[in-house]
Amino acid sequence: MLYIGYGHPEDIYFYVDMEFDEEYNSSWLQNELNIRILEEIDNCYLGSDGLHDKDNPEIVFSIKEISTGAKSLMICNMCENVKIWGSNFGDNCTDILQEIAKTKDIYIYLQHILKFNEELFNAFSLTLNREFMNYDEYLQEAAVEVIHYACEYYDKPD
Amino acid sequence: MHVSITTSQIKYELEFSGKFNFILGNSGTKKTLLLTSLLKWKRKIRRVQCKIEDATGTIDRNCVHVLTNSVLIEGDYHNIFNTVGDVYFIDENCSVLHERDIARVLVESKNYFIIISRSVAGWLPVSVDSVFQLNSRRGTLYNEPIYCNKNSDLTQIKSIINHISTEDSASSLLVLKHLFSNYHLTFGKTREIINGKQVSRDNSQLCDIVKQELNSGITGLLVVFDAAAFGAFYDNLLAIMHNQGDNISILAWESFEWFVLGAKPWCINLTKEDAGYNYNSVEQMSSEKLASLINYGKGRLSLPECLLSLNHRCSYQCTLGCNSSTQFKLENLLYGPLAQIAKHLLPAEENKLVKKIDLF
Repeated sequence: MLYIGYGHPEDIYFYVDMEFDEEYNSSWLQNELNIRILEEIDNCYLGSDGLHDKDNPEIVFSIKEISTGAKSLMICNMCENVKIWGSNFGDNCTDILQEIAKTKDIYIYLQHILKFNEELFNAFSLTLNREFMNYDEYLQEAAVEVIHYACEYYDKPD
Repeated sequence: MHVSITTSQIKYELEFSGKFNFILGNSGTKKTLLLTSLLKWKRKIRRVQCKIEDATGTIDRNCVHVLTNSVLIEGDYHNIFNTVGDVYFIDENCSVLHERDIARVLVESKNYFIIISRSVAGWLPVSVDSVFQLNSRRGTLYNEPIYCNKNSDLTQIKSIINHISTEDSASSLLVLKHLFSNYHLTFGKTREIINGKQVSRDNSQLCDIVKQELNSGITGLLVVFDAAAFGAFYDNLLAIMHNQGDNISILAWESFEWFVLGAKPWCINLTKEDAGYNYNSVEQMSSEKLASLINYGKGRLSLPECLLSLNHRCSYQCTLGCNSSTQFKLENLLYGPLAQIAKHLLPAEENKLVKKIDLF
């Protein structure tokens, strides 16, 4: 199940680039979903000498240089009990995020309104302590909570 | 400001103006790579070329600062922005953006800020036309505006206007009431009750207020906002407009003060380039400029008579512009979008007639 909360609690994956450096091992590239993440999110494929940009295969880069969204999805896919900052995900990550959340619990904490595919949307509200009835209910909650968190957290300039 | 970066793998050609700019976008759109490339240039990596220029010339490498996710700032972070005219590229995960007083620090700082994020920070006065995403064309990445090339493009007058809802409850609301006093119109209240709480009109509340007005059955709604600082909220307004068809019209001026300055006798057109890093927005610059020309304040009790009535004899002693030969008249404001809006209003009598016909 995908659990949705707001803000950035202390104990979550926040600095994903550095977390990924520590969590990643080469066996991750044997995982089918991780390969799909690279293809769909970062538009690249795995070659013998690294990752190649699909549009320009001469551009080769290492796994450490992939996007924050792709790293976040791989962490969700490969690690257990993941609590992660939701702003690490672009909107294009949410289909795969929902797919992973079908097999395990993932907690995301948002500071922006992350957009999901309405038809695939299925999540649990940590604010309401129950599943969202539909996508609209999530959007309404997120609109209020994201602004509420920002107003509570940040000092307003004079 | 133009930013040109070439690495062995990628090329960026970026154009920004004004103090605050945001780059948003999906994962994998090479936002973070931009900062990595800039860091390589800062470290004088040979294959990385970069040139950053503003109106004053080329900006020195030492005046460009890159605050990435991995930057760890210990001690007092306030001091890092104690420069003038420098350029700061900041990634969303950078810890400084999670300091509680960051809004005040950035607003008081006299530098340019280019922030990479998933959404525009509501606590900064970001112009709608300063929100970008990166798009690739023929191997080069360009920053392209998400919403509009320039704020004036956002104005859309679609149908007969029955109700005007402004972002603020003072200057623009009062002046529009006076200007359109001969038309049958209703206006938003100065204070509204949203979710049981009394709120003042401001840019963060406007979308909720508009939603409430639509739910109450208002049709032919004109929403007026200062686009110079509405970047964080425009997406919400678009979502509200999505299913409303011709029911909502938009007047998006840089700010009310900017619009007044554009009227005769001044005809001053301030831009983000004029505002540079010295002002947080064109709105702030326009307010200061207008206050230097007439006895103007944003509060509802401090508007000069010339902005509130058709009596052209202003009792204030303005130091510039507003003397007997160049006296400002309220009807001078009926230019550009306001002239267009006037065509979409029903005169009070005609509106009554329409209502009578409706009754039959």
